[in-house]
Amino acid sequence: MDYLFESKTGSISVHVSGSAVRVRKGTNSIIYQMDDFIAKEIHASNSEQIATLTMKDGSILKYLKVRNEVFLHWKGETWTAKLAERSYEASGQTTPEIKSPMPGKVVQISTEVGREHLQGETLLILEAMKMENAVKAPYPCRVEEIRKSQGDLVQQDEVLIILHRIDSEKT
Amino acid sequence: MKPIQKILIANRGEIAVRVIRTAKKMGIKTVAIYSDPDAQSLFVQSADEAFSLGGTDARSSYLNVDKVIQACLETGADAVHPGYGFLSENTDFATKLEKHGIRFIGPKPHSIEAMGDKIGSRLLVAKSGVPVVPGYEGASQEMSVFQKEAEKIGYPIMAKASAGGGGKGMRRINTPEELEPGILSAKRESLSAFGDDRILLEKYITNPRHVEFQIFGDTKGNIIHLHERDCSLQRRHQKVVEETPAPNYPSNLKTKMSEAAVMAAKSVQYEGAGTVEFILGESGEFYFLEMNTRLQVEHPVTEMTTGLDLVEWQIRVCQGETLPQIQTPPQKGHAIEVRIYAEDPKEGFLPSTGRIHHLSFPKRDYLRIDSGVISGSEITMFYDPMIAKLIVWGEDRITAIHRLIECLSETIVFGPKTNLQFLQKLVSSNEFAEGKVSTHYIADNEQELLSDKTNDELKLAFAGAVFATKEPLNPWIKETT
Repeated sequence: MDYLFESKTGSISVHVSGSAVRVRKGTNSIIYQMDDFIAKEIHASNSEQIATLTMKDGSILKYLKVRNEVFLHWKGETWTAKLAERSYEASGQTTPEIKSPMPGKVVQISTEVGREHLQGETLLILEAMKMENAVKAPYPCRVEEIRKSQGDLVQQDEVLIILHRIDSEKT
Repeated sequence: MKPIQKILIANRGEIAVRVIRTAKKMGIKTVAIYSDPDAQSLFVQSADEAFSLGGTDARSSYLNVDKVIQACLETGADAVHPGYGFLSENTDFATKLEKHGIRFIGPKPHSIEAMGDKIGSRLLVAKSGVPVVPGYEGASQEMSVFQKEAEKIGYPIMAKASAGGGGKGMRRINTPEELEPGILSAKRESLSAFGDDRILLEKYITNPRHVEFQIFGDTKGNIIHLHERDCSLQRRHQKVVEETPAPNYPSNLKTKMSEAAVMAAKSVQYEGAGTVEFILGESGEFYFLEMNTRLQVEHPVTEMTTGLDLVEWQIRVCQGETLPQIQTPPQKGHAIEVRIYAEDPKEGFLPSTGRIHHLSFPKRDYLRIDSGVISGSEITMFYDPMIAKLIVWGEDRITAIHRLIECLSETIVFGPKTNLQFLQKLVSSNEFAEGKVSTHYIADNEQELLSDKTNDELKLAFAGAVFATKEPLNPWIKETT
């Protein structure tokens, strides 16, 4: 399974296969055998879902997942890894309706009726599988109608937004 | 004087929680005042009553004298504890409270005023025999006068722009040959930065330490000191680590400095809790820096080594009671305090805001946590981003340091970025263990203090493993092999 994490220098891919984890950054890739580190998982999660792992060297790794972010604490260090936002651009799409690419929940609407957008600008954010997915403008457009509100659950292919295409006379 | 019935705390966060704790212990009712972003805060929940000031930033809430006085009148508070910062050293506020018959838990306005002015307070304490940094701040800007004065002060000296601030227009001058070019260049810089080229000279203190004395006065004229605190570890003049007793500190020097501290406090007939700050040179010379006319952030280290409750003392002195002891009480063991901030050390210590998803501290008999936030609290852009003060006690300094390192490594903050790891590195350094740090230490060792132990790839591998065990297969994440 592959995960893309956000970092200052761009996305970093992490591939998990059984207990082997490969981290790839540009052309560099490093493989870790998690079995070499982790002794056992303790199911001692409290009300805040802090999970604890005991490591082979006796140290404790604690972590908490909050939506598409994970916070880790190990050997006195704390860090965060954030899954990269997946963007859904109906590239090549020419129809005025923006349909939901997947079942999910509308977590943020970043536009309003009448607002104009350039291609690639975020229109709304859909949460699916605990990941945020940005739905972006497929072409230069003006928003005609917004069919959903923040917090709505949507099915795949439900119409979210109706656009009016703006021809590229403006620069 | 009638005992105090109800205290309004004109502050927020950690110090408000701290004051409420003591007031409750003494059977005194408390009122919290709060701005809109603080409506759900711990300190608001902890007080007996809460009064909304409205507003978001400090200026429209906690710093608004009229609103705060209105809150006192409406809630019937008969005293105000100002905490530190905000209105704690505002004479206008203290005077207005007095006019309404509300007691200000702090010194008299004239003492605050006298110590509030840097040059004025310097002249005042110098008159009572307290050493101040030798310098020249006369009107003449003749080079010949500077030369004569520099000889008197002794090299190295510092030329400072009279209008200066933020390190601009400052030059270190090591020898008589460097004097003229140094002064001329400081003048040029000052002129372009402040439109004023007047220069003053001060003795340059090499590798200085910052040592301060907690002092306490009552309305009967008794003033005592409650030992020193070493606050040498600073970053851009902000204290980072504070401890007592001061390390490598001869007892005869301590006697001399404590006497000077009490003299300085007496020069303004000081009442209540205050701190006299000194700068201490390598060869044991010390000079008055300033006096803080309030309780300070680092007061818990004094409390942990003397067993006293300084807020209780403040309240009792304000009620007209005599100090419970008019001799300095003995000190037991060693205490160190660090301040945990929501900030990103790798981005120039920029404040980091957002929700604290999880906050937990180890539990130890020798550990004290003063905090105004809990899991679920929000760190907003409106106020100081302090998360907590962590204070440890040990029989001796080395024990205290070991305990501090351990407690810091077990403290978990998930949410905003913090300075926790930076603090661990700082207190784990050999220089700190040996008590050899000066106020320049952090700036001189910043790179080393900001480095990580664990490499980024391993961190990401752990993160990936966590996602993999926690998540079902995500169809939107494609194989990229």
